[in-house]
Amino acid sequence: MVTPTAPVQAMPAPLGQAHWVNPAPFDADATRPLTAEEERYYRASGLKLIWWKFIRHRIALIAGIFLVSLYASLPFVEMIAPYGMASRHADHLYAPPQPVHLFHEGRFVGPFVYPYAFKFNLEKFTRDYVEDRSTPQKLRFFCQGESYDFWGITRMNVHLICPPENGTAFLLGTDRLGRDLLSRIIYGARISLTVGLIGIAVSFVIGLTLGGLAGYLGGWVDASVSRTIEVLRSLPELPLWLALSAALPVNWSPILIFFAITIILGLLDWPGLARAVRSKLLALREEDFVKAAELMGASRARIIGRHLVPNFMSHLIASATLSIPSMILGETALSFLGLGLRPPVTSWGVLLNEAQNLAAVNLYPWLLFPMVPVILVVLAFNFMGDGLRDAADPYH
Amino acid sequence: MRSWNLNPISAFKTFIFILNQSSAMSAEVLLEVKNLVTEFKTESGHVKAVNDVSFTVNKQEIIGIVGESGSGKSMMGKAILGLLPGPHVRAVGGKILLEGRNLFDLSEDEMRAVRGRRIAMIFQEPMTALNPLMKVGQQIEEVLEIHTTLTPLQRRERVLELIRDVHLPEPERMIASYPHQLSGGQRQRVVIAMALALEPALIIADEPTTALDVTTQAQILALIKEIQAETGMAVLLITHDLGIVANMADEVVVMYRGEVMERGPCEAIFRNPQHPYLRALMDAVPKFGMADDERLKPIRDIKIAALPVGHVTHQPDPDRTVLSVRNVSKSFTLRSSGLFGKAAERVAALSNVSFDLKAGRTLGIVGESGSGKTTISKVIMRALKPDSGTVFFDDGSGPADVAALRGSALMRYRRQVQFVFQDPFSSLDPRMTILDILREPLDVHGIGTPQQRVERVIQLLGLVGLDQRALRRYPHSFSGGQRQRIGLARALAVSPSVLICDEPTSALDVSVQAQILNLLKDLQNALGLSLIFVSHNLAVVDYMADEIAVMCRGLVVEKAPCATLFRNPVHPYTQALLKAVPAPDLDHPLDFAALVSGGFSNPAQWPAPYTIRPIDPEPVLVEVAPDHFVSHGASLDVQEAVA
Repeated sequence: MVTPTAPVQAMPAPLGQAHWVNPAPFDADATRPLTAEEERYYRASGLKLIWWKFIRHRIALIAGIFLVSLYASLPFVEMIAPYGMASRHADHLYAPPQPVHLFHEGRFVGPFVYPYAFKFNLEKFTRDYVEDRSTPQKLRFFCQGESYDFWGITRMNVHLICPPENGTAFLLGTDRLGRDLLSRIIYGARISLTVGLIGIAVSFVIGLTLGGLAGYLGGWVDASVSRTIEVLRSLPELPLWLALSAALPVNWSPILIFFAITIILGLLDWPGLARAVRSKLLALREEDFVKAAELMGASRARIIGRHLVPNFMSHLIASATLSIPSMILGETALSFLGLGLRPPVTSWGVLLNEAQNLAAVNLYPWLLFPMVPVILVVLAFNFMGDGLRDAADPYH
Repeated sequence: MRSWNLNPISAFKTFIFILNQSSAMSAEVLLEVKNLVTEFKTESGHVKAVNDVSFTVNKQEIIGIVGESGSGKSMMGKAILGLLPGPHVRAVGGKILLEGRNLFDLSEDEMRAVRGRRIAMIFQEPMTALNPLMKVGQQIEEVLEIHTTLTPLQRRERVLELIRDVHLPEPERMIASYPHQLSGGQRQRVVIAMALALEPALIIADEPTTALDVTTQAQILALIKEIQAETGMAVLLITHDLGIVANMADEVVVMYRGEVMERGPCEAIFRNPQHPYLRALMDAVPKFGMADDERLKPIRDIKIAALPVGHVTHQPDPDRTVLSVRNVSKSFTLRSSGLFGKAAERVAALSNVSFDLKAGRTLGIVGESGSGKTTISKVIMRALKPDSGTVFFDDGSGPADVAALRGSALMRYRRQVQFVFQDPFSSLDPRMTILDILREPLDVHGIGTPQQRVERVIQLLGLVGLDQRALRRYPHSFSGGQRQRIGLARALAVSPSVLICDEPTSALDVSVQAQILNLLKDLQNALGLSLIFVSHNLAVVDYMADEIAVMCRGLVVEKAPCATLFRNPVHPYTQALLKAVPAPDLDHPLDFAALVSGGFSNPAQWPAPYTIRPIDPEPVLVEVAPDHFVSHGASLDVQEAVA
C-alpha cells in the first residue's frame, strides 16, 4: 500500500478525502404506491406486451393496417371493382389509362374523366386514343353498374365506383381484349393474397410438426429432419417449382390447379420454419422454468402445451409473416412464366403474363401495373414481419 | 509521454521513479468527478442512474466503489471512459476532470487517446473481453500497435514482459495460445496485461473477479494489488463485495440508487460506518463464526404470514436419514474434436460421492465451478442418471432406491423433494401469471379442488411475504429477490419434506440475499424441512448449514459438522477456500502471499497424504475426528492403515 491510511479521528485525512456521509434522510422501507399505469403494465400478459411494443413500431403498424384492410376487402372485390373481371369492351382494346380530373376549364367539377375518341393509325398500325376535352363525364359512386353474383347468394349491381353513364372509366387502361385492368387487378388480389395464406398454412403445419419433433425429441429424429432440411434447401427453388407445376395434369380445373400450386409452394417452404421452431425449442428446453415443470412431474403434453408453445408461438408467427411474401412472389413468378395459374383464373402473375413480350411493354406499358400491388404487398409483409419479430420477445 | 513510449522499459522505470518522488511529497489528484449526473430514458420518463456524485482519485491509490445492482456504479465507470451507450443514456451534468482536463470537453479523437493511454479498463467477463479468434500475444500487441511507434521486435519484447508481469507461466508458449485454451483466471490475467500495456495512469476495474472462483479471485486481487504497488498507477475498483473493498481499497465510495451514501478512507468506512444504509449493508453480509442464533439483518425484512391452518408441521426426528447418497459417480463425454478427431474424452463430474441428509437439518455443499455440486443435485432430483451408485430416499417408511421409482411412487417422490433454482429470471415462465405458476404443481399432482388450489396459492404468497395483488401479475413485474421468493413458494406448494437449493442467492444482492436466507431458515423451522444448500460462498453455507461437504473436481474432499469444519479445516483445499474469502473486516485481511502459488483445486498438487494423481485408485474418506471425514489419496499404505 502506497498511501498511508488516515486514522479515524483525523478528519479531513491528510492525503485522502474526508469521511463524508450523505445527510439526506434514509428510509429503506420507503415504497411508493403503484400508479395505475404501472399496475396495468404489471398485469399485462405477454400478448399485450407484444401488442404494445408492436404499435410503437410505426412503419410496421402502417404496413399492418394496410395489409389488414387489403385482406378485409377481398370478400367485396365485386363491389369495389368498377367492371366485371371478364367484361370485354371491343371498341377499347389496349386503351391507355384514363386520368381522373377535378377541374374542367378552371371550374371545380369533382372527379370526372374525359371520354376517349378512338382512331386507328394506319401509318404505324397502332390504336390512338385521344381525350375529348369538351365533355367532362363525372364518375359515379355507390351506383348501379354491371350486375354480379355476390357470394353466390344474390345478384347485385351496386359498385363503389362506376363509369359515367354512356362513358367509360378505365383508370389503369385495358388489355388486348378490352378488359379493365384496374378491375382485373382487384379481382386478382383475391387469388394472389390467398395463395400466401394457404401456402403458409401448409408450411406452418409441416414445419411445426417436423421442427417440433426434431427439437423436442432430438437424437435420430433431429438428425434426419435436419438432413432433410439441408437437402431441400440445397435444391434450386425455381426449377423445382417449374418441374412440379409442369407435372400437374392439364385437364385439372383451374381451381384445382390453384390449390395444387399453393400446396407445392407450401411443401417447399417449410424447411425455414422447421429450422426456426427447432432452434427456438432447443433454447427453450434449457430454460429453468421448463426444467422446473419436468421436475414437478408434469407430463410431456403439459410441458409442450403450457410452457413451450406459448413461448415460441410469437416468434413463429413473426417468421411465418416473413415467409408469406416469398409465396406471393413464387406464385407471381410461376404464373408469369405460364406454368402457374391459367386463365380464366386471374392473379397478379397471370396479369403480368400478358406483359411478357417486348412489344406489349413498349406500346402498352400500363400492362406492367400489376407489379405495383405485388411490390407494395411484399414490402408491407416484410415491414410488418420485422415489427412482429422485434416485438415477439417482450421480455428483453 | 511519447518519449517513454519509444523506449518503454527504461522510460517506464524513470516514470515510476518520478511518480514515487512526487507522491512522497503530497497526494496529487488524478481524477476528479464533480456532481456527475447521468440519465437514461425509459418508457416512463428519465431516470437518474447517477445523481450528483462527487469523489476524487489520487495518484497511486486504489479507490473502491461499492454498491448493489442499480446503484449506478458501473454507469459511472462508463461515464469516466466516455463509453455511455447514448443516445438513451447520457451525462447531463457535472464534470469529470482527468489531470485538470474536463473529459466532457474532449473530442472523440482526443477521448480515444485518453482511453488507450491514460485510462484502461478491466472487464468483468474475461471470455468476452478477448477476441476468441486472435492469439493472446497478438491481442496484447494490437494495443501497442495502435498507440505506440514501437518496432515489431520491441513490441514482442514488451508483450513478453507484460506476460511475465502478470505471472502467466511459460510466456513464450502463452503468447501463441488462443483464449479458449486458458482458464478463467489466466484470461483475466491477459486482460490485465492488455490494460497495463500502455502504462495508464488509471485502471478502471469493473467487477474484475465476479466471474471467477474464490481462490482465483484472491489471486487476481493479489496481482492487481502487486501491480498497483509496483507501477504506482491508480485503480478504480467497482464491486458489489464489501470484503473485496476492505482488502483492496485505500478510499471507499458507497453508492445506493445513484447517490453517494458515504465516502472516506477505508479505515473510517469500516471502523466507523455512519450512514444507516452502510451499516445495514454490513449487517446483511454473512460472516464466519456467527453465533448459532445470530441472524442476518436484511435492509428490508420479510414478514412472513402466520402459518396456514392445516399445514401440519411434523416435528422431524433428527436421527432419521431422509436422503442418502451412496458412492455416486457420473462422467460426461466431451465432444470429440472434429469428424475424424481423437476418441471422445470422458470427464468425471462425480466420483464416488456419498453423504447423508438428516431430517430437519441442512446439508451445505460447497465447491467452485466444476466441482460437481450442481451435478449431484441433478442426480438427486433424478434429472440425471448416475453411472453408478445409489440415492436412497426415506419418507418414514424405509429407504427406497430413487432410481427404481416408477409411476405413482415417482410422483410421490417428486412431491417430497423440491428444487429451488439459481437464476430467478429463467425459472419462472414469463407467459404465466403468478397464480398460474404457483398453481401448476397443485394441478400436476391433482391436489385439491380448483377453489382450494387458489386458497393454497394465497397462503403460499403470505408464506414468502408477498402481497395478494401479485396473483394477477406476470413475472416481469418483479425484482430478482421477489422472483426468487415466488420460486420458493412454488417449491413449497406441494408441502415437500426436502428442499434442494442450488445457489439460490448467488444472483442476488447482499441485502436481498440476507432476506432469502432468513426466509429459508424461518420456513425450515416452521415446516420441518430438510435442506440441501449448494453454494460457492463459504460464509453463506456457514450461516445456513448444520453439516458441510466440501467438493472439488467431483470429489467430496472434506465432510464435517459446520462448527468443526470452520474451526479445524484439515484438507488443504478447504484451508485454501477459507483463506481466499475476502472478509469485510479490516482485522482479518487476506493473506495474499499465501495465495499466489495457486493450484489449490488440482488434486495432483495437494500435499501428501491428500495427493491424488490421475493414475491413482479412488481416494478414500478417512475419519480424522468423530463425524469429521477427509479425503486421502489412496496409495497402498493408506489403504492398509484404514483396513
